[in-house]
Amino acid sequence: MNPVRNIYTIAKIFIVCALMYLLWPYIHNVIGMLIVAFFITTILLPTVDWLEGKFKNRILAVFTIMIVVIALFFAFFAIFVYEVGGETKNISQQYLNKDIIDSAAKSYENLLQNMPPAVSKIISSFFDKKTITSKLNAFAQNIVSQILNVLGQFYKLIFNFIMTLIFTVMLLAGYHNFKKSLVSLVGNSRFELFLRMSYQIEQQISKYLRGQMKAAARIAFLTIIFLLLLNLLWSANVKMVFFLGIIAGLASLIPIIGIFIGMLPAIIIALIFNLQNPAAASSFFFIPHIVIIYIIIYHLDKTVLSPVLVSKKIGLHPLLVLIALILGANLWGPMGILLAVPITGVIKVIVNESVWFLRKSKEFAQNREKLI
Amino acid sequence: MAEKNKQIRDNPIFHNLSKKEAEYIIKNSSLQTLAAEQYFLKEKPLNDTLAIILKGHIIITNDEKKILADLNETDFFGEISLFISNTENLCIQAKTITELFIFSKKTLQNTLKAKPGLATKILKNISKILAERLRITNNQLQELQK
Amino acid sequence: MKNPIWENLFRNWNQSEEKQTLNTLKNIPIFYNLQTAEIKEVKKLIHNRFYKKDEYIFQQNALGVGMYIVQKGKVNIQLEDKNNSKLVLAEMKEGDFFGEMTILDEKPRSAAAIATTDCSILGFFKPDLMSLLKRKPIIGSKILYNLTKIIAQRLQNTYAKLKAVQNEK
Repeated sequence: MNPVRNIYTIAKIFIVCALMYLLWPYIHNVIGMLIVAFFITTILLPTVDWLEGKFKNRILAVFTIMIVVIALFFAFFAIFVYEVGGETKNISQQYLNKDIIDSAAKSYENLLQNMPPAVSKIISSFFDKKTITSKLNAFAQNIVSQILNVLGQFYKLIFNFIMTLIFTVMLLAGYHNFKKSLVSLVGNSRFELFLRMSYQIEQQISKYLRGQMKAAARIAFLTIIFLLLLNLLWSANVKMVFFLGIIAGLASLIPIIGIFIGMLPAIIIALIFNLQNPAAASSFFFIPHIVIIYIIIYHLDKTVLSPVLVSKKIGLHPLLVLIALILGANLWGPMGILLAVPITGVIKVIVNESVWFLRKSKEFAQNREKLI
Repeated sequence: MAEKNKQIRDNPIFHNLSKKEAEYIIKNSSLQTLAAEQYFLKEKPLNDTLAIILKGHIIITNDEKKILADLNETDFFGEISLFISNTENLCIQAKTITELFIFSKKTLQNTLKAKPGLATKILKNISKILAERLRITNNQLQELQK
Repeated sequence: MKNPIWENLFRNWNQSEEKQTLNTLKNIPIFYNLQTAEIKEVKKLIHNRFYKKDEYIFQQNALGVGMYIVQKGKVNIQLEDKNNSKLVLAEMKEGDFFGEMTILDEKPRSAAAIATTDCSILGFFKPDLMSLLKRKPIIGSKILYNLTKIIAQRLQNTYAKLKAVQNEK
């Protein structure tokens, strides 16, 4: 290769990176929205194409799908507001009441008594009863201001949501035209390979994301059922079951540690709502039950429901996933954690196909030199 | 009925069809039973007809009595005649009691209008079969011309 | 440095070229029986490409995904072997099309296509046909029917040739 050309390429990459670095604080929001919009587009594209065939009108198809998606989203949102909103009010009222904190301290003592003496000694050396009481007091005072803070962020969320929806509608409506103009940018010698690559990428991403969605939905459904059963059979007071189910479903997309991330909120909620319940202490606030339930759900899903997991086909290394999670959290906060794994999967698909593409086009370039 | 449905869907021509789609095809096609030694076609060109052998044994010969094809259960013939007209005279004769499933050009064209999705599946199957055969024949021709 | 990006970006601006493309498409057997509105839908999926003299459109054994239609210029279809010898199988001129087999089965190209003059070529590809079959099944199935018919015709011709050659021997 021509060294001047190499330097030119490196300089180009460097300039792009520097620009990205400078502009990042201003554009990361838009990029985030575009990426989310792109994901929603790839998930919905096959359905939109199919509906276009039925309706004979693409715009109509896009709007039909979007209305369904928005309705579903609001249904979930309503459940969330209903459950979380209602319960936070309860909690803050409870914890503002000093008696409750005392009773919490009491159930903590109960818990210690139920444990083997050696264990309870170790635990009480770490968490003194007094510090627990004072910490709970501080928590109770904080909780109200934190709820207000969350509400303050709410308008931003709505704005992002609406913008993402608009991007999605535009992408879905013009998808095939966008793709054609993208393909037309590729030079003659690689054009057909590129076309094939983009087709392959499209198919694989859509398959991967749909697989992930299905897996998450399965886990969410199972979690809701099992937690409801736990409430029914052992009269455990685990609230916000639907919310916990959705969290577990989303967390299940994260390999290895997903199960713990999904379990944690369930344990916290079980603790909070059972502190007053003296009977719960004897069963360790149902924490062992919850752990076992989550393990059963994951095992059931892996062995019975989906013998071949889609994420396994894409094959993300756990270390890569962890790095992606940290990067995602740094760049976009909670949204980043949620998107980190699917984005990594999509990047892997694109890299795989691009490597194939470059190798093939190199092969043909060599062939051609031999021939001419 | 259910058995016929499965037999149709197992045939490469109707590969990938759903049960309902196969039902539609069966409803719009006809069956013909031939006695042993009975002719399906005698010294006439085969046109506009695809036939699948559900049961039995068929032999196709040309004017010079040369055997062109010896077909058994699940085999089919006439797929090209759905698209282009033939002029070569053929004799198509059943050797044993034979049951034929007949899919005509008319049915194909009606399906194209009424259920383009279903027609697409059938066309994809037929074109794949023909393309594969064309490749093989082209290779044979090239070998012979060398 | 010549950059294909700019050439490809700006060439669609020519209006008369649009009409010419439509006319070319109407006369291709693969698009027979399509109404003008339907042809216009197909045109949205067609890729206009430009090739210089002696440029390959595709190489022998390359993975292909579609067919090409010559709009202007001439193209040679040729067999090449390791000893650098070339055998021209066919000369394609305006309105001719080639490579349609790969729409149906994604096998490597059995021959190379090379531009013998500067060429304007239309490309129609399998992924586009697949999406058309889903989004506009009536147009898609018509195209597929025509395509199958062409292959059937070709098969018939090849059978006849094979028979003739066998009789000679």
